[in-house]
Amino acid sequence: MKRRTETQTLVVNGQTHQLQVEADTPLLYILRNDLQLNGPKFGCGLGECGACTVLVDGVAARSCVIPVKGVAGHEVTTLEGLGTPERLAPIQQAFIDQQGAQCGYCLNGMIMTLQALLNRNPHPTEQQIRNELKFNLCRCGTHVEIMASAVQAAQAQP
Amino acid sequence: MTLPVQGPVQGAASRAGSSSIAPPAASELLHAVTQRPPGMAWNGTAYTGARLSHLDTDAARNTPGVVDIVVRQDFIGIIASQPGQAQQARSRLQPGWAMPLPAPEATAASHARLGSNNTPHGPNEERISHTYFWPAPRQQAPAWAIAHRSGDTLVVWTHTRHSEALRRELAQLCGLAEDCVRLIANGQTDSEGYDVAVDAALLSRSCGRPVRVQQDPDTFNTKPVSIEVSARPAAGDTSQGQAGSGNAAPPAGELLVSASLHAGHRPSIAAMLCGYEAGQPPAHIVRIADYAPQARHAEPGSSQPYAGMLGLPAAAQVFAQESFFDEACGLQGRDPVQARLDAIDNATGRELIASVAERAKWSSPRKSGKNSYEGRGFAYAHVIDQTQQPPREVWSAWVADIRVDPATGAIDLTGLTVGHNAGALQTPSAPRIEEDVRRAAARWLQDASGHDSWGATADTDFPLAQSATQVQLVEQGPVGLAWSHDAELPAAAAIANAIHDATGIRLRQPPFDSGELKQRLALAQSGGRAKKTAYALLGGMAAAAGSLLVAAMPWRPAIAPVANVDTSIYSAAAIERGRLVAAGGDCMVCHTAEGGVPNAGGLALETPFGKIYTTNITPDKETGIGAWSYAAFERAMREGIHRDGRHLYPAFPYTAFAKISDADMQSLYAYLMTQEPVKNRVEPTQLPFPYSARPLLAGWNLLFHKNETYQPDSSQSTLWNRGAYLVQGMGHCAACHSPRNALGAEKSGEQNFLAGGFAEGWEAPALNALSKAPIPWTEDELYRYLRTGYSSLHGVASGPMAPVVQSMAELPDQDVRAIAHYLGTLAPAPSTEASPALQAARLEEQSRNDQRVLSLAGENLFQGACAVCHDAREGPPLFGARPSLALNTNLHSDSPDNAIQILLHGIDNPAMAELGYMPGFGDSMNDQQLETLLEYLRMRFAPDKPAWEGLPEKIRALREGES
Repeated sequence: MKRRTETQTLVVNGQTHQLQVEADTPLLYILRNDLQLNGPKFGCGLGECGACTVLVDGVAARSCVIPVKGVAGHEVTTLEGLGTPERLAPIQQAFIDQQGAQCGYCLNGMIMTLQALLNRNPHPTEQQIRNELKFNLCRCGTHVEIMASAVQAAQAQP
Repeated sequence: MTLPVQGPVQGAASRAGSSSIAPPAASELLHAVTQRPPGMAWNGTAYTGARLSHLDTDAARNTPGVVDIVVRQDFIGIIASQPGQAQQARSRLQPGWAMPLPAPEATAASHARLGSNNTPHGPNEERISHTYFWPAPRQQAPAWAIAHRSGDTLVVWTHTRHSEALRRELAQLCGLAEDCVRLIANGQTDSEGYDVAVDAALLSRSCGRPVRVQQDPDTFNTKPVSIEVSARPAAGDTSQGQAGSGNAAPPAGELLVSASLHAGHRPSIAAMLCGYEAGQPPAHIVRIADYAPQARHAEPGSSQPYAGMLGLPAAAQVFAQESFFDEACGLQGRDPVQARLDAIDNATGRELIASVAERAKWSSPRKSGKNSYEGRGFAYAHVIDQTQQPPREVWSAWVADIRVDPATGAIDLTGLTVGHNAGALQTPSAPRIEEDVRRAAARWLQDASGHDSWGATADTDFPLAQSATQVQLVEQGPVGLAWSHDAELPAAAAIANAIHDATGIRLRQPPFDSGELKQRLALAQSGGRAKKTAYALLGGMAAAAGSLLVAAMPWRPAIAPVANVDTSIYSAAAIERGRLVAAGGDCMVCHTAEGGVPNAGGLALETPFGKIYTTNITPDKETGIGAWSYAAFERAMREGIHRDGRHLYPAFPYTAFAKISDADMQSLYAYLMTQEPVKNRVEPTQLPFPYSARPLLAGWNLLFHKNETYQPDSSQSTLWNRGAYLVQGMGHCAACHSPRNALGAEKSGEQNFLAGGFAEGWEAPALNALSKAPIPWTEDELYRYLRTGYSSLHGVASGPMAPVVQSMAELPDQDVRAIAHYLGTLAPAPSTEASPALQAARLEEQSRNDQRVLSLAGENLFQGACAVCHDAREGPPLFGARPSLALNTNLHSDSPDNAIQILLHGIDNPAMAELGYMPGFGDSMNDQQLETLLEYLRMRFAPDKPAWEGLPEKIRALREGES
């Protein structure tokens, strides 16, 4: 079947982009391939593992299963939009301080999902953090360090 | 390929907020909805409606994404990170409400009648009381507001016509100085955001974050304003007032606006529910004899803070009071003009009334034959328009003469005598004013048929055929005839009073529907009824016999192609109406190939008889319908015959389209013929023998097709008939939702209508009493589902239903409401023992606690693939809806087809983008895994239903069907 491309307007990390793409392309492909934002990772491609998580209007979203047309009119934030290498966001600093990474592939998802939690609840309990991360998969087993990072980030909130 | 257009702002950095005029970024916003009491009332000083008796917030609080639930007295607000999550949480709240007992006086008022002496209260306690309705002002979109309370300032983005009052109220409620409250226009110029602004402010105050609140779709634009007027006889014994006795005091009236959710004569709903009390007694009691309603809202700092504060339309007030005055005069046997002259002190008003009455020959005797159905009515208005500088007074008096056709209920305006006096000098020419007067009056008359009038958008209807109305203008005073829209205020009441004079029937809600009038006339004289029915039956039989003869002809002549269809004769209104008919009929959904040009045809429809390709219905002469005359078009739509005489397959639902009214059919033709022609030759349909023999369809039509337009059921309301017409006619809901027999015809009989069917590999669930939905559908949930594509108690619109909801988005709100209303009467009665929220909670509880299920092999698949979005209580809230599987109709259905379809293909084209997407698992799960998962889903989420049978075959068949 012939695929039609059309102009999509996308707001990512405060910047507006006009892209000539197929409307059904997963958002993740656009972020990584067209915008070179490689924070979000391709994991399972089915929204199951969480490695591709971004924020849409401040809410966690699995960018591998959302087509680019699905975020028209919304604001997308990727890992790159949280902070810069010079000025890290508190959540990013916490993951460095607590050595949250082993291979690091899942960390984008962990950080973005936690940021979404902090957006709506600046002072979550440990139980709430566990519940939030329940469906973010890590296969290296750094769960203890990830929890410590999350707790530090929550304490750093004003 | 990539062009950054602008790029200064980092999304998270603009938290300062209050100094900027731009609303907070979407990523910083929280969203909230409110839960209102079932019955709200405001007596002028305090809230008197239903009170919150108990509330269980646990289930709602545990809904993923919920930030807080705020309860203040009877106000309940739910804050979440997305609107959908807040709505979902709301449907899990279980509020209990205590209805207040009606005040004894109010009870007496609603029953007592002026002049009857048999009530225990004595004559001076007796009141008459009537409620009038006024159409709500039309809004294009639901109002919204964003409020951000930080520190000592409150910033609110919204649009209101009453910004001073809003600022005052917000300051009072939030304990701030008035200059700390900042209102910023949000650009919604035709929506009233007063109530949502206060909701948002209260909720932002409680969570300290910017909060956005949007009016619920079903509370805007639909409910008419209700105005209750009651009167007590003035001092002196008026209960024995005699006809013509000039000394009897006129009925003193007071105007009570019931708080029927209309923003009128009350503070915001949120403030009411929080227990806010107005410091002063109701300031809106007016003497009915000569009142000057404030046509626009009061000046700030006025001594009567709530009089007309939120802009009860002056027209509504005049209509209610003038109708009431006439009714009261009728009960006393007094002449309304004389009664008014007796009561008025104002000289200008008196002179105006006297000269209008004289010109209209009010006092000269009229022939008053019992069956003449002619009548006249009088109404008067005196208003102060405070939007003018200086405020301008307008007096206006109308006499309307009408004739009613008892057979159709049609109301014919035969004469209008209008006098007015306004303090302005521009003088348009008299013919222009006459035209304005005629239009102002005709606006309040509504077409008889009702079921095919696109009522919510009056401008799309064909103008009514009215005989010429005689208009007399009365000049008065030195200012001449400067027309003012305020001078139109008495029009509706004058007509209502004339209708009462002509028929004895009192209509209390404009526009006056001739269908309703006809029904009530018939009721009043039900003696002549049986005979009419018999005649109608005979006529119907004759018509049916005629259509049988025609339909049985196996071969039909071609209708000659026309060289040119003159589309210039179609008005913009007719084309617009046709566009709505096309949207209601979803023409585009079938007549557009995947990725193709709309309406150019070529989509392959899978039927049990083979593939049928839809045709090009753009007005292209060679490949479309450009050479079709109206006669050919209508024959195709009503009888299923191609222009060239071929029979069309009934996959084209002409069996339903036959019900479309003539006016709608003509509009549809006008719309289609004025679209862009597209040359697109589609693949011809070739079914295997015997279905390839199209003449056989003549026999099919004889058996299964009735070529009749929709006939309204006079025992049902206009709304019901409208809904039935849309559902059975252009909506052709039964094409998918009714079972079909072996020959592909919808099964006949009432029990089969909308009893569920199959189409395009999907099950179309039963909409009637056979519905398998775990929680019975209600009118409100149907409305929500059809308007938004999602009901949190049932699930999302997917498969072939998603484009139907998209197409329906074009329809006016009232029509979607009518469809929901009609379908609601077919659905099984809701269980009375438990609220939907309680049933939902119970179903979810059952689904979670079944240990037997959790040890099934499907548990791993579910946890891996589904739980992140579908676990009802755990896990992160993700962008989009989070449908509860325990309430999902597909998992409770007898057939697994829809569940399999969605697992295989996901949802890549949701009815609304906000609902979110679901990936298909067809490529990543094999048949065995799908079967395991489906068994698990069925057992866990529909524990009371038997396991599905034949899953492997079904999965294989539906998977193959995709290629």
